[in-house]
Amino acid sequence: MKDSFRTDAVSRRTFVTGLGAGALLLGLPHSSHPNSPTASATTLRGNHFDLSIGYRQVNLTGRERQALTINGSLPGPILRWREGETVTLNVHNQLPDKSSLHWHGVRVPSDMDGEPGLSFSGIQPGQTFRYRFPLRQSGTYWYHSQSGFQQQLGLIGAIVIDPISPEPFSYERDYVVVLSDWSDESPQTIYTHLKKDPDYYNRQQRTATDLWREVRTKGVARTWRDRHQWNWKQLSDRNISQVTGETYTYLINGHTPDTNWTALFKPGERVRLRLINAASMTLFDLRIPGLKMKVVAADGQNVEPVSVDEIRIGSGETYDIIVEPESEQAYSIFAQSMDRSGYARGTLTGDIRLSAEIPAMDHRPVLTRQDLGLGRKTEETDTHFKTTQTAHTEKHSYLPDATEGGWFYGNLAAAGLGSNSPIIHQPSESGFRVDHRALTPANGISDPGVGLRNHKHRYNRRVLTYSDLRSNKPTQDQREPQRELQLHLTGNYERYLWSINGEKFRDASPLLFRHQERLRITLVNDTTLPQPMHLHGFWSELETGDGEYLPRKHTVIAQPGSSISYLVSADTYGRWALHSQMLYQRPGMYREVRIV
Amino acid sequence: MFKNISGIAATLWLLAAQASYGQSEPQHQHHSYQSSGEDNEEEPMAEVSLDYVELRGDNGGEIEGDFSYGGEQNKFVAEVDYERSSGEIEKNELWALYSRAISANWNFLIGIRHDFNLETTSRNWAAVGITGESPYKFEMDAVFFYGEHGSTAFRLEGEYEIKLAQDWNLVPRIELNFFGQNDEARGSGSGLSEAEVGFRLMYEVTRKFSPYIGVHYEREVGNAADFAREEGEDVDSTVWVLGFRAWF
Ligand SMILES: [Cu+2]
Repeated sequence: MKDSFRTDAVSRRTFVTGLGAGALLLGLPHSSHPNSPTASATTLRGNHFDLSIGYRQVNLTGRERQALTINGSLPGPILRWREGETVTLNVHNQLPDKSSLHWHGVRVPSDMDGEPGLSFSGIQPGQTFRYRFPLRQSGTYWYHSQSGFQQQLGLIGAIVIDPISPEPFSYERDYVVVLSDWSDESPQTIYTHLKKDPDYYNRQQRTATDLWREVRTKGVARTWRDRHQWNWKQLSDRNISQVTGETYTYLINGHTPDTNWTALFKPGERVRLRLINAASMTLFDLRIPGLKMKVVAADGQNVEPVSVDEIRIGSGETYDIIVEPESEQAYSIFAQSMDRSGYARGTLTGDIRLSAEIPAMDHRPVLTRQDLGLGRKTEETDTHFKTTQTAHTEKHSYLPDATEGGWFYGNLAAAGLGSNSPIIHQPSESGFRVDHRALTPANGISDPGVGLRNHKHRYNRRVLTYSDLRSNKPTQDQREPQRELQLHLTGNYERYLWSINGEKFRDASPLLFRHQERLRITLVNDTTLPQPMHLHGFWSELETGDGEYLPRKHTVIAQPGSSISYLVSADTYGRWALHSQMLYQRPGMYREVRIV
Repeated sequence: MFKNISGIAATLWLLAAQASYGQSEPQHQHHSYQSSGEDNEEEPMAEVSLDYVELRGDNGGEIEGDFSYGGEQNKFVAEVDYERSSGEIEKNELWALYSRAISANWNFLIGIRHDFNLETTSRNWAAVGITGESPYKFEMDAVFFYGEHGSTAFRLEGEYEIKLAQDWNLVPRIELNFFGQNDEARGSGSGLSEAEVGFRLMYEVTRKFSPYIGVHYEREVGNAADFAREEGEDVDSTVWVLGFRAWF
């Protein structure tokens, strides 16, 4: 039953969206843009696809700009695949520059991964590259260019892989919600601005007024103490996002908040929304005021359903949610950027003429001691967040043996529990590339993240955390990790240099994993910014404490000043990438993973 | 004498290169198969920064700025510092420097400074120093100079940015000049010779352009003050300034 409904919804959408995208691409001003209720990118189905990477003039903000498009649409078409089939994609590059498409989260042979320089040499101008791979998974994924900063200009699109076996949940409507960040400035300009003035887009800096207010409420001594660590390290607790609403317009399925992407439902229907954060530099906090969101999949993989009010989606991550609107009213799909400098907005409505009120943005976050990597020692004032890691360390009276390069052997914590290894900063972390090291990083697994830690108390909203995620199927690989790799995410904010273990990609050796080995990766985030880290080629099985049902992800947010662990089964030969999904940090915060 | 300067410069250069080698270079071999990843290559970047372009009082002014070009760690810097007060040129300097990042917040500098003909004649200095940001975000430059006939000098500059609002900054600035010996012709005395203190209120029209107004105070100290008094000149002066800061 649900399948027929879904097919119906999809075909209708396919038909209307061509219109929406066409209007967008003709560069019509917003006012004359037809607010088509189901406008979105077209959906391409089957197992053989012809995709053409090109450019078009668009007008998203009132100014004509050139965007990169796939088959003329921004974002690119939704690719609807079916598990068990082998898909062939002929990708033709019409750009004057090299390009590529990477299938984010789809487990493909290494040479089909679309990672320039690792798995292939990129698609030359005028050339066609044929991707061909079998689909051994189902769920919601996405694709993007991995060449230069092309992703920022619109080379993104959704992938939906329908499962062979029935899904453990049902729904009557199925919509893709692609979140992205658009700028009228060229990506190279943004990058240059960040390099020359990392605070270029930050309009939420500390001011004398704040200081005065703080001194009045807390007194001089306490204010001094609270600020001392930040001032001493030349860091700012107001440094939430690097590129902000100052330049970004946040989009849902290519629509600005004004053009309001709209999806329809009938009262009583269950609506599945496939949330994809395809933004270059933005973490979104998404909610639908008035509706509970039942999370049924994370990064394409089904989880035990969990009902929440709010989800932080790091760039690269996807979540599938089901909502059940009961009356014919309209609801806002409201995704504010983490720093509250702007939002993406769409509408879910029972009546095409209705749109819902756009909620006010939440309070602006300020970083805490925990984000500075001092999270494990003191009592948490701003959070009700358990430091599970401390508990582990107590259980294991002896620690694993460390050797060079962050590898640990023997006495590792049991699968699922996360790392019990001591935090060891590598000697390479002391150069000019690294401005800060987390001394006592907290475990980030149950941390909702910067600015969300008190949302229960403040707004009575339940925010999803990684520890809420529980796979709906038992962990496939039940082996204990044989080795553990501790990687430190490092950077120098003022110089705008990013690295792993203090080494930029070009200077670092590849990480060598043995074929078929089960290993643990622990990310220690020495920066004060959340880092959504994407591992190509394998599942990252988050160690949530329950080893039997580890949730599988492809992109994992390492919270600032925190550590997080996941297990990897190195089952596919080849050369892969592990990198930050933050576009302008990616050149440095990047490693090759090689399976030998 | 020039041989002498270049010898010292070369030695310092080598010392700096070696001191920073240990901590900043990766400990292992570079692998040839990594010539891939062309999309991850950092390109050198050029920046022009005009820190102070201003009128001072009735008959003075300053232009201080630099051009830099380079990569993540190594840069070439050309710097200009021109200052005029009471109708006389006080500074007319052109610098050529090599700058190397040596820690998270500090750069090492080495190069030459050329002073264009002041009242006497042009002269060259070898310059070596550091520039960067101290804890609590004080921006500082400290440069030591070695010139002809064994003359020495030291300049310490500090600046702090107080954010009054998102686009309003109050910027106190201090500059101290020290000399190794008296130089009556130039009016500089041994020890601390002159001190400048200023406050500028800047408004960011854009991130790249901030006009400002402010007040600038300067004073000759010690022997330099005596020389000034002998010449019948003022020992100190306070003037209004009007100018802008820009970068691109
Ligand atoms: Cu570290």
